[in-house]
Amino acid sequence: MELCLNMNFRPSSQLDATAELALIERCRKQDAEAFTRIVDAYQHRLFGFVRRMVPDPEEAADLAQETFVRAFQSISRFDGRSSVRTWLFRIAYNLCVDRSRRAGRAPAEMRLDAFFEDEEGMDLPDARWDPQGVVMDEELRSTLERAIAAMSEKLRSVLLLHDREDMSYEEIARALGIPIGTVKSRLFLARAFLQRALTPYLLGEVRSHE
Amino acid sequence: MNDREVRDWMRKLSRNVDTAPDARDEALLDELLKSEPQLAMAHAVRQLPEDEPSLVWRSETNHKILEAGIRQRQPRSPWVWRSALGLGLAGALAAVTLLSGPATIPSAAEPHDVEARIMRAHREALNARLVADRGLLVQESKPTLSTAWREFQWQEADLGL
Repeated sequence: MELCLNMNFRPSSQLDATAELALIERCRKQDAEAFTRIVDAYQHRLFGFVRRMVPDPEEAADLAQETFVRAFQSISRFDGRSSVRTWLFRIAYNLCVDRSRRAGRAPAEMRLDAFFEDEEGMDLPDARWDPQGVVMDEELRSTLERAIAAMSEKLRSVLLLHDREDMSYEEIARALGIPIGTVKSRLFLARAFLQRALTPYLLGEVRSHE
Repeated sequence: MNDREVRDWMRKLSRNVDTAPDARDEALLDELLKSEPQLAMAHAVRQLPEDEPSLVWRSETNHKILEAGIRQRQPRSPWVWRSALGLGLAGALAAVTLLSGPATIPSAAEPHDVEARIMRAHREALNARLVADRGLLVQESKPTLSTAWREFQWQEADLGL
């Protein structure tokens, strides 16, 4: 299966709440065509999430497909308490976790306590980091992708849902079935992990500009 | 908190990624999540390019969704009906066998009927023999001696008397 990676950010076409509800009603009557419009709206976001959760691109493509098929099959159980987006990402996350369990692969987790034992590698929040100063180039992109792939599924899922999918803490808590406080601590640790991975690159960049 | 305390706190947090932090820790997290280094990381993640699924992937997805829709619209899968039909036929056959079977096998349930038949057959045979003999019933006939019987009836002369 071919994966086309587009370097240009292209936001997915979002449906407004009313249109989404109308589509869901049609989907409940097994209207597959209505469901393909939901796929249109979420395919890019969901595909990107699963692709970063699962290292093998072909497996990721299959899981993203499976997510939509499962959602369509169980649309009658969608109660509307969460948004369609939250519901889709919850299905996708569960499929990713199941896949890891089935394969007998504990997610490639790095022991965080060991990671933070290393005093040298601990980067405490300080004023040297300017959010707008981070300029994405190919090298930074690949360093960042590697760092995201290296962190545990628990941290990665929260990081991607919050910082890429713009989900609120409450939405993430619902999607992953964890308390809001846990969402916050995982997000903090995930960013700290990235910070450590990017420090050599960013500090090198700063020095080269000076 | 000084640097050392922050480090200790982060270690504690990293050992408990599955448990919710207490109110004090959560308040500290809220503050730290808004710090510049944390926001810089969020910004970097947001800038990552979006993945675009291929047209082949999209086409396959549509096909699978349509298939799933067709499967769900079918009220029951054919194998369910086939097994139900098989079970029904087997049940009907069993019922017919059980209900009609005992009638063809003689049983002790009708002893009088059998006895009556035997008696009737015996009487008919007896009557037929009597009728065929002299055309009279036993009660109607006068006792007569057959020639052979007479031959055995000795006369006095025969005995030299």
